[in-house]
Amino acid sequence: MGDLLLDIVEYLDSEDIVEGDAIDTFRDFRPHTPDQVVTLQEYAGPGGFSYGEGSARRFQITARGSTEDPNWGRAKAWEIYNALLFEEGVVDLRPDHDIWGIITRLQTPHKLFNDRNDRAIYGFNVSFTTKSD
Amino acid sequence: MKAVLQIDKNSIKEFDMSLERIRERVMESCETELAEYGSYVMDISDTFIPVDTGAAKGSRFEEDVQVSMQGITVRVGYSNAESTQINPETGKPTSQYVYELHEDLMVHHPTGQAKFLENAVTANHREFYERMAKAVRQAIGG
Repeated sequence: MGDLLLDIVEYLDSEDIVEGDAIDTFRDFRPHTPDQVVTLQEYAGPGGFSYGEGSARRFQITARGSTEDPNWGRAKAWEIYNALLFEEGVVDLRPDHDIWGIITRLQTPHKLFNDRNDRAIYGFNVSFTTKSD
Repeated sequence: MKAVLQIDKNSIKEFDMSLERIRERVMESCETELAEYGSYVMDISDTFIPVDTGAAKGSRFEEDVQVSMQGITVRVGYSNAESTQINPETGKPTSQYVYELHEDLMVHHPTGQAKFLENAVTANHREFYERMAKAVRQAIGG
């Protein structure tokens, strides 16, 4: 079994959009420092289908900039959003792990909120319809 | 054996009117069912929403069903213009923080969880289709 969020992080790393897991990109965790971080967190999706294999999973991607450069989060969120558009529709994140899926970006990136240190957090939610983890 | 199909102006008009009556019955039935589904989702969301002072939960709203060329819609949620509450501890209107309450997945709440409304919908999306199917069946007498 693979880790969907790690696969996404590694994909973004391969596209030179992030530096890597636990470097500037974190799963299920938003560290206090550094200011500029990307986070991914899975939450409850609609689940399986009545007919056929597969399930729809959902996760949220956020990008936080510093108070001095609040635009970083917005720009990074848009960069990631654009990287999750696949011309063929079906994405094969890790061919060696038989993970395929259809990614649907549920919103365009927008400001979600400011954190306790007044750092703006931008993000969007994603649906990933997949056959196996 | 001979079959005769006679169509005149009046029968076409009558047929058209009966289709219109069916359409109206389907729309009315779906409107009623959609409003009930909105309330159903909100009742579930109310069990998920984090509660501290209860202001966010108290800002629940259910608007009237709207019918347009695009379809039938019902808006439900928390903190619209009329339902916004003032948090008694912070003095902030709920409209200023209810979206963060919904979207911030990193916060652990002693009661409830983020995505309270979205989860109420996604966990019950089949219920929606079943209710709409039932509404159409009832309207056409199926």
